[in-house]
This record gives sequence, structure tokens and C-alpha cells, in this order.
Amino acid sequence: MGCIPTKTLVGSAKAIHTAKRGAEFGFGVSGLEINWPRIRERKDKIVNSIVSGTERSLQRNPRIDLIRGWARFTGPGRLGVGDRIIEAERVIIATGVAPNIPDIPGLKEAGFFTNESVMDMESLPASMVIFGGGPEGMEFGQIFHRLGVQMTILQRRDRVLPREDEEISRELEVILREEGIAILTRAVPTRVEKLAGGRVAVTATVAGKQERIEADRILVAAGRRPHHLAELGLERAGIEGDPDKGIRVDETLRTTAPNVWAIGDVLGRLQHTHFAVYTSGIAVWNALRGEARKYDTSRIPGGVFTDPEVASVGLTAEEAQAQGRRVKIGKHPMRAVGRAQAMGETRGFTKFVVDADTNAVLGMHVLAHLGADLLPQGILMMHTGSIDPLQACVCIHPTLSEGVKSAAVNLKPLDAVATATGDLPDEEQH
Amino acid sequence: MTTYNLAVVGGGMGGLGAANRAAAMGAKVALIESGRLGGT
Ligand SMILES: Cc1cc2nc3c(=O)[nH]c(=O)nc-3n(C[C@H](O)[C@H](O)[C@H](O)COP(=O)(O)OP(=O)(O)OC[C@H]3O[C@@H](n4cnc5c(N)ncnc54)[C@H](O)[C@@H]3O)c2cc1C
Repeated sequence: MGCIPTKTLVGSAKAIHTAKRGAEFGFGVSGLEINWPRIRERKDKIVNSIVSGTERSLQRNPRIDLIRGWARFTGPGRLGVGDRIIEAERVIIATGVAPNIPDIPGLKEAGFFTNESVMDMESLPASMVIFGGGPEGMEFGQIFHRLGVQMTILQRRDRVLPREDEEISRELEVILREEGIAILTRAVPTRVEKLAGGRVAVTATVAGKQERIEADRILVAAGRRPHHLAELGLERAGIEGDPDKGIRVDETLRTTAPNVWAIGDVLGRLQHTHFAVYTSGIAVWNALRGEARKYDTSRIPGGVFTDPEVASVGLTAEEAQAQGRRVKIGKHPMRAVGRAQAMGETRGFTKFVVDADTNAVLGMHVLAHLGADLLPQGILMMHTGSIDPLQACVCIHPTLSEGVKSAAVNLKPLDAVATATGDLPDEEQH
Repeated sequence: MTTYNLAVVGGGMGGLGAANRAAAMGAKVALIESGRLGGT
């Protein structure tokens, strides 16, 4: 449950940010005080209530025995947990991933936080360097910046969130830099030194030049991989897996061993809770009912809970073109959406990638306040096979959803959109 | 010793979903978790 703890922090960070924007909304705040122990307590309270609710419901379920301990295969259908042996007709592996710690000289000696330990740190440092400009790095970068920590993000690639639509990456970089976060791209840390007073100095190659960055602490957010597979005894049950790439499965989620399936992060495909839950349903049907349901990643969405949020599903325009498709793009900026103006949340845009021959939605990419909650309109259209219902439907005025509909209605050939960036479409609602 | 219909290794978001669904379908399930329920 990495999702909920971070999202409670996103909630605190947003509230602080809004308080600081009082002048825009017509109020003033004096003596704004950030209390990290209380923010942590709020997180723990929410997380504990979810975990204890889960425990209670498992205890009440007579069909589930919860067994505590590290499991390893001792043979086909046999697992050892401590000195207990568990026998099962079928097994589902759902062991997730662990943080990837890059091999950088001096890093271990200097000490660093991971996604878990950073949320439980005793007190806030004055400054922090993050290794990684992916989803975790961006979320933590903005959270701690808003809590008053001076943040520097080092991203190896030439843009943050490199798997997202490029325009979204670029726009998010602009927004976060304006907010005061230092983002260095093409930045590869090469050495870490421990300084007096517990501070650290990071030497990095930034766009070919050597730079030195000092900070109080380091947060490693360089992705997560199924490293722990080596300790699962997979070979004793005939299950193939790779500590970097994950467990090998076929399209029905079955591993190379009969009667063993794998789901979620450990597949090394997508790392989202909703993907883990989605694959769990398929694997259980296949395991218990002997079916051959297939999993499909083409309509699995992903969200990054920065402010504004990044949310996407399906193909980018470039990916669709690379598949030889003719594409139309529908784009609408949030600044042209009445509700967004009223809320003071005008950053970002919605972008649809539509097949020009069939009107099928190939992808949807959003950078917007509550963007992840706007995405289902596009996901549903991917399931219906056409963008037409969204073009025909009526949205409540004034809502952020109107921006999504406007993007769906405004489809243009790709090259027309590329030359018209920055144009502000007429406002359609008043 | 009980032989379970299904053993689920890992009580994170995916494992919990699998265990609950399998139990609802009538299976006897062992859910094995080394840390906190709910996963990373
Ligand atoms: C900081 C952070 C923020 C995130 N935010 C989001 C988000 O906003 N939205 C989203 O969709 N996803 C988010 N994710 C990703 C999400 O947490 C994972 O995709 C999801 O938890 C995967 O579920 P899983 O069941 O595959 O693995 P996990 O939930 O990681 O569960 C694996 C479990 O298996 C246990 N385990 C491992 N090996 C063994 C063993 N041998 N024996 C017994 N138990 C074992 C582990 O202790 C763990 O509890 C975030 C992740 C992080 C780290």
C-alpha cells in the first residue's frame, strides 16, 4: 500500500499550498506552521484504519487462513513458511517489487531514504536530493517541496515521466520549476560523499558536465524491481523468473509451472494497484475454474499524483503513428474550462488520440487538477470502440469534465494540432 | 495437514484481491504475508 500513504501526504501538501494561495482567493493566513509529526500521524491513522479493517475482514472469513512469515517454494505445490509446510493444489504469486538501489560509489556509506523510510523520517530535512524523475520522484519532490524542504530532482533521461506523452512531461517540468523545485534532466549521479554534520554531496554528470549538489538527505526513487525473487525458491517448483524482469507468465498469467500463476507488480509489466487487482481476478478464475482468460494491458490506465495530476491510458500520438495509423488529436486546455477558472486550477490540458479511420480512441492523456478522475471518460470510450458517445453526451455545467468533452469534440489531424499549439479555443460555456 | 485449494504468496493489493475472490468462489485459501497487509 504505497498508494494511500503517499496520497495522504499529497493531501496535506495540497492544503498547505492552497493556504499559501490565500491572496488569490481573497483571504490571508498568518503564522502558517508545518507540523511534520502531525502530518505523519494523519497518514498513519488513515493507513492503520485500512490495514486493521482488512485484518478484521480476513479474520471473519472462515475460508482464508492468514499465515505470517516469508514463504519459499520447497517443491511443486509446497511452500515453507518458517518451520511450517503449506500444501496447496494451486498457487498464486503476488510478491510485488522492492526499491531499485543504483550502484553508486559512496551511496550506501552516506545513507539514503527509500519510498518507505522517507515517509517515516523523524523530522524534515532542510534540503533533499531525489534520484529519479519517474512517478515516485515527482510525487515526493512536490510533496516535500510543499512541506518546506528545498528539493532537487536528478533525472537520468532527458525528461521527467519519460513514459508519458512528451508535452505532458514538458508542461509538468515547467509547472514544478515555477513552484520552486530544481529539476535536472540528463543527470546521472556518479559519486556520493558524506559531509560533516550528516550532509551529503552528490557528484553528477548533468548534460555532459560535472556538477556537485549538496543536500541534507538523499531519497532514492529509481524504480522498483522484483529483486527478492532469488529468495523464493522458484527453481524448486519449476517457475522461471528473473530478478530484473519478473516472473515469466503466458497471456493467461500462468507461470512455466502447471498450477502456478503470478499477478501484479511481480510480472514486471505495470506497477499499479488497479493492475494488481485486475490481474488477481483473472488469475483466480483461471486457477479455480480452469478457464483461459487473458490479460490485456492496452486499456490499463496510470496516474501520477502530482498537482496537477498526470493520467493516461493507451497510446501516445507518436506510438499510434509508429503503428502506421492515421491519427486525429483532440486537445483542450484547462484554462478554457469555466470550473477550472473558478477553482483556480487552470494548469494543463486534455489530449485525445483518435484513429482517423475508425474514430476509435487509441489513447487519452491528461494533465489537470483531478486528472485521474477525469480519465474514465476516455477509458470507457476505449471500451465502446468509438469516441462518438462522448461527443454526443451532455456534461453538467460547470465541471472539469466539460474540458474532456471539448477535447473530444475538437478533433484535428495531427499536423494541424502541432502547428496550432498555444491557441486558445473559444470558450463554449458561460 | 490441510491441503489448501489455493495458496496466495504475498498479502499486498493483488494477493488480498486474489484471496478474497477465491474464498468467495468457495476455495479454502492460505494467504501468506511476511510484513504488513496491503503491500508496499
Ligand atoms: C510510493 C509509492 C506510491 C504508489 N502510488 C500508487 C498509486 O497512487 N496508484 C497505484 O495504482 N499504484 C501506486 N503504487 C504502486 C502500488 O503500490 C503497487 O503497484 C501495488 O501495491 C502492487 O500490488 P502487488 O500485490 O503486486 O504487490 P504489493 O502490494 O507490493 O504486495 C506484495 C506483498 O508480498 C509480500 N511478500 C513478498 N514476498 C513474500 C514472501 N516470499 N512471503 C510472504 N510475503 C511476501 C510483501 O511483504 C508485500 O506485502 C505506488 C507504489 C509506491 C512505492
